[in-house]
Formats: sequence, C-alpha cells, structure tokens
Amino acid sequence: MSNRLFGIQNKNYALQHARRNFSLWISLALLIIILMIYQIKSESVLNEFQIKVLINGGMALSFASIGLAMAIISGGFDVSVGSIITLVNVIASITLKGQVFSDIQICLVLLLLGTLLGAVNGFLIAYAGIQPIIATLASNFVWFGVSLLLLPKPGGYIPQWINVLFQGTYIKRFPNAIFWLILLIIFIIYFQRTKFCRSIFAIGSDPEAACRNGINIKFTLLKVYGLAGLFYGISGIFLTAQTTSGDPNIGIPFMLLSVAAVVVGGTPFGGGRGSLFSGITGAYIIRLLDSVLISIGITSYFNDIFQGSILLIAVAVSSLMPKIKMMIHKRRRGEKFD
Amino acid sequence: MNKSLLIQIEDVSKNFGNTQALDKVNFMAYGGEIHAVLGENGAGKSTLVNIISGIIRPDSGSVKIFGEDIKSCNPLKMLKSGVATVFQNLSLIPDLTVSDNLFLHDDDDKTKYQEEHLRIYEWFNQYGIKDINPFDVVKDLSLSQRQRIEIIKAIHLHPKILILDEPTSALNPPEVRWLFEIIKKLKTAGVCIIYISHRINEIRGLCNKMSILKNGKKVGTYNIDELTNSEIVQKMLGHYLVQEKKEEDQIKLDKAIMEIKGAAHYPELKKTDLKITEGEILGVAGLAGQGQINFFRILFGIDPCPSCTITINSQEIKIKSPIDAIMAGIAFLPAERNTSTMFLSLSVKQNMSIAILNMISRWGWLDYHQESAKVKFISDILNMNYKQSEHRISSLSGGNQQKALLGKWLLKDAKLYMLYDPTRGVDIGTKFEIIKFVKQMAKNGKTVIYYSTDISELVELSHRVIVFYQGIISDEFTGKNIKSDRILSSVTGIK
Repeated sequence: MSNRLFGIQNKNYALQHARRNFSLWISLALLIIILMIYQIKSESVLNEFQIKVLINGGMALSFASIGLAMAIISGGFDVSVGSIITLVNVIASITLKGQVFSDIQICLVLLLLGTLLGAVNGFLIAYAGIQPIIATLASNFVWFGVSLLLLPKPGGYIPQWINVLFQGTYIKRFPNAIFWLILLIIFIIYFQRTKFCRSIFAIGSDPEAACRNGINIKFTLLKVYGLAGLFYGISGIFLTAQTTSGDPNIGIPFMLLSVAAVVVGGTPFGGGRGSLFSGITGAYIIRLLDSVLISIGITSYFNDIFQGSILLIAVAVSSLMPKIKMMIHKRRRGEKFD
Repeated sequence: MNKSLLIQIEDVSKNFGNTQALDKVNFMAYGGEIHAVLGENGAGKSTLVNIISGIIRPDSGSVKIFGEDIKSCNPLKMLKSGVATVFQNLSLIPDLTVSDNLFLHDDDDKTKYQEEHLRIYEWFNQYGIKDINPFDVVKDLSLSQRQRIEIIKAIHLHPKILILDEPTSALNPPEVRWLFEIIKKLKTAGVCIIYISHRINEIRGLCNKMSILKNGKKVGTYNIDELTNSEIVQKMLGHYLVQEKKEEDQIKLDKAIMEIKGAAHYPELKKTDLKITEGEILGVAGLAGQGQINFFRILFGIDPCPSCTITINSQEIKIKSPIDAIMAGIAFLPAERNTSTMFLSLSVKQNMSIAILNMISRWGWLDYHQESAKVKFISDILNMNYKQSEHRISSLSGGNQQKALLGKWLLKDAKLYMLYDPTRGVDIGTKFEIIKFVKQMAKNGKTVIYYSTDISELVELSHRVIVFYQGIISDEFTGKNIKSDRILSSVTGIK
C-alpha cells in the first residue's frame, strides 16, 4: 500500500527523494530536536493537555504557511496571508449566531470568500500581469481596511461548538487537533501527486518551459492563488476557534511568520523546489520554539531574536548546500581521476 | 605606414570540458591590416577572439599583444591598452540610454554632462548617424541601430586593435557600406582589424588576409587573392571534402501532410511557404539570425503570426500558443535547453512525463505506476539508464538531457518533431545515437524537421535540405544534390 501511495519503483527512491528534498528533512530533524528538548525539560512524558496545546498552537500557522508555500513554489509570493485571515475572523465574529446548522453554512461561505479573495490575487497576477508581491501587498491593505471598517475594535461573538470542534476533545486521549493534523497530512500526500501540483512545480521551475510543454500558466496560477486563499480561510477559522473573538489586528503577525515558517520548513524562494510539508514543519518549529524557550527559562522577550536567528540559519544552510555538495562532488571526482 | 606586429599568438590551446576549442593555434596580425578569420560554427573563432580581448585565458601557449606577454585575464586592462571588441551578441545594457552606454567605460568622473552631449553629437555627425537619438533607451532601438551603436562604442576608444565578430549579420546593405568605409579609414590610420564573418563576398571586398580555422586547428593564413571561393569552402570543410547522399536513403516526396503559407516575422523572416511530407527528415541549414529560428517559433506558436496559415492533412488549424501546437501533434526541442524546455529542479521522470499528465492521470490524480511504466518503456528505447530517473535532470549530461527531452515528446506521440540543433553541446557518442534514432523515427512514419549548424549531420540525415538566407528559403536540395559543399556555399551566400 505504501509503495502504491508514494510511487516507490526502485530501491533507491527514498534516498533520491531525500536528496531532492534535503531541506525538508533538515527541518523535520530540527523539529524533532526541539520536541526532544521540550520533552526533556518538561521532565515527564507529555500528557494529553500538553499534546493538545502543542498541536493546537501550530495549526492556524500551518494552514497559512501551506497556502503561502503553494504561491512560493509556483514562483510567486503572497503577503496577503494576514489580511484574509483577519477578514475571515472578523466576519465570523459578526455573523456566527450559535446555531450549528446555519453556522456551518456561514463557515462554508467564509471558506468560499477566502478562495475568492485568493483568486482575485491570482487574477491580478496571472491575467493583469502585476508582480505577485505588489498585487498581494495592495490587496493586503484593502482587506485589512475592510476588516477595520467591519469591526473597529476587538470583540464579537464566537459560539462554543466551534472552539470544541477544532480545539477540544471528542474521543478520550485524542484531541481533535490530532485528527485535523492527520487530515491535513493525508491531503498533502494526495495533493502532491495530482497533475495540478506537478504543474505548479513546473511553472515555478521555468514558466517559459511550462508554456512550451502545454501547461496553461495563467489558469494554473489563478487556481494556485485561489487554493492558497482557501487555506488562509481555513487558517482564519482555526484562529477564530482558538481565540473565540474577533480582532481586526489578529492577522498582522501571520504575514511574516508564515514566510519564516515556509523558509525554515525547507521551501526556498524562487519556485519549483520545496514541498508543501514545509508549511507544517516550519510552523511547528516556530511555534514550539516559544514553548521551548519558556521551558528553558528564557523570557519571551527573546522570542523574536531566536526566531530571526533560526530563519537566518535556515536560509544560510539552504544557500550553502549547493556549494557543500559541489565540494563533496569535486573531492569524489578528484579521488577517482587523480 | 607602420607594419608593427601587434598580435602574436603561439601554440595556444584551450579546452572547455571535453571539447577542445583551440588546438595549438598560431596567429599573427599586424597594424594596418584587415585580417579575416573564417571557419564553420564551432571551429574556434569566438574562442580566439575572446583570448585576444582578454576574456578567456588559454590553457597553454603564449599570447603577446603589443609585444607584451599576457598572463592574467583582465578584459578591462586590455580595453584600456587599446583592444576593442564588437561582440556578436550585443553587449549594450538595454535599460540605459545610448549616451550612458557610450560613456560606460570612461572612468573620468569630471566629464561634465553637457560636454558629453556635445561629444556625442560630434561623433554622430562625424560617423554620419542620423536616425538615432542619443537619449533613447537602448532597448527601444532596432537591431541594426544597436549594432551601429556597438561599433561606435568600440571605435570611440581609439583602439589599436579592433575585433569585429560578425558585425554585418544585423546590418542592412547601406549600413554595411557605412561600416566598410569606417573600417578602411581605420586601416589607413594603422589599426589592426580582426574581422570575423561567414560571408565570403564581404571578406573579398574588404580584407587583405585571412586565416581559416577548422575544428580548433588553424588550416593556414592566406592572402585574400590566393584562394578561390570553392577552395575556401574546401579548406573550411577540411579533409572529408564533399559528402554525398547515399542512394538508398531516399524516399518519395509527394504526399504533403503539412502545408505552411505566409509565415513571417519581420524583419528576420520574410513570407515563407513550405510543404512537408509524411515520414521525411527535412534538414534546415542557415547561419545564425537568418530567420530559421523564427520559422520554428511560429510553427510552435511561441511567436504569433496572424498572416500564417497552417494546414495539416488538408485541415486548416490555428496555432496561437504552444498548447495549440501540442494538440496538433507538433513537438519542439529548442536549442536553449537549459532555459526554456527543461525543469532543472524536477527529476528526470517528472520532466519526461510533463507533457502527458492528462494521459497518466484519472480525476486529476497522477497514476505513478503508469508514469513509471511509460518512462521506463521510453528510456529503454532511448538507451537511457532508468535508474537515474529519480535524479534531478540538472545532474545529467547534456546528451542524456537531450534524450530525456526527446523521450518526452515520444511519450506524447507527436507527429511532427522540430529539432533545433539537438546535437549542440552533446558528446560524440550521444550525437550518433540521436542521429540513429532520428532516422529510426522517420522510418516509423514520424516527420522530422532538423536544424543543425553541422552541415555534415544534415547531409547524413536529411531527405531534403532547405537553406535559410536573409529571411527566405534561398535554396532547396533533394536527393543527389544534397552535398556538403553546395549547402555550405548556399549558407554563406556564395552563388
């Protein structure tokens, strides 16, 4: 089954895959190291509550980063992450009433709204030919402005059931967040083997070549940003469930945190490389870092400094990798031929 | 007039990887002479030029310029000591204005802006340039205007050695005359001019001496009247002299499956009509910039051409983008492999299956088993190592990359394959494999349009050869008429 799932054909597939996604594996290793430090410091086996807090903490950022990772892999960029999250949060806090059935309808409409806002970005980028960073920066300001109009100061009402659905526990010892995380991972595994995902990598790698191989670049880009918008929408709903209130400033840190998460997770800028999993690993590295620093006894004022340093190290490692590989390669060749 | 020895190159060799660009070349040039350098593509002309202008350092041998030994490679120093080069691929900065480009090398900060303007107008008057505004941005200028700016940029440095690499390929006839007058003036002033061109007629009218290169070796240096045109062609082709077509390779060229009418892309390509027969290998010959690349691009829908009508099996189709071309069963392997066909960051397998994603997916999911099976099938046919299919394509050699790209279109089962210089930068073994494979494809009923800079390759492969010269199909050879010397004469415009 697993062979079928991952398309393993020859024996060294795993090795090759690891080699091509080296940065992702480094970030996974980093995540495990941070988890271990946390485990050692907390001096007992993680209990249910700790697991719940850990997983809940990174979910919203994971979704946002996966959306951004799509945009980056397609060779573009998206700074409107925070504004779409905020708009979804604000509208949810205004419209949700506490009746489960109508609330679910509202949530679906909000996800559709996220997709639509993303698609607007996609339209501006693909069809109007505006640079991704400019187009999304402009829409970022607009949606923040709209959120501020709708809800000038923090408040609003979020029904309890949403909080329980995303943050609570239905089955004993298994927080719901675990199921959401598993669902997300399964989605990514399947998404990464769609025709659409292959096209995203192709466009990011070389748009001209993609065009010459019969890929409809404009429509694919529209879909990429639309899907990214959907993920920001999901992220917004998660965040709403977590904070149980509306706040027109809630999304501001997400704009930069999601960039940091994607890069730390092992998806470099430039497109065509990386993996959607980097959104998850990167988000959890950044979120866990907070917890670890507190458990080590460093005040939270140092958080930003550490986050910045980790980001810098991640970028430095990924930009030094080709040079290191070249050195190893040269040394090997030297041994062979000299 | 001083006849001092300005360039003295002895036993210079240069390797690029496995290819030997220059092999123990001796070359001498004196002040006050116009020295032509001739040779086929890849004969080593550009490498020689780059060594003289200090861009490339030779692997061995000695280079003396103005009697001074050149050890390090320092283009700026060479420029200041008086070696100016007009490069074939233009070296102007597209986003700067003409005047900024002209003063790029002057590091005299004190030059006042106004003074610059006056000087430019003075030069433009002196050299008779009337149609260029010095304050236009270079990217808005036409190719011939840019070429003239490039020439003036080289001349205004008052060089003692002036190197011109195919300067006339972008110029119109009156501008060519303009250039020749300037060159003759410089010659009387004692400047040594190295003139690289394919056009033998031009060289006859202009130069006093010529050196012929062949496969990185120098054939010899001759006075301009020493050789006849056909002797020059023979020397350029080297010892294998004239290749002829074998009898059994010929096929009947009567059933046209594709007809192209009115393909044009001004100014490079003028109205061109062509009929293509099923199962033929159509060789295309031509120097760089004679319109053949535009022809290929129009057929594949990269450049739009509203005036062009294309009929396949007597059915008219519109090709507006590569997607339309692919749907019509056309495949294109461009020369610039690295930048516009390959996805360097993806694996070999992913590169090969990119055009058939529809075929191997159900409801949008890719069927990895089917993908692997198809790629393996085609890798075996192409004699590629399937074990490498998970490697990044950038780690493959040029030859294997080319095979993978060819394999991609075979998977797509295209009918018409347009190969643009598929053997460039490919090792000799793979080259033969590709040639063998193209022949096999034609036998299986595929149609191939094959452009190559290597004429011997065209002679070996083609059932028919067309020659592009100055934007039109100037010649067509079939059957026994496909001979390397005739094609070369036609390509270089000797009639």
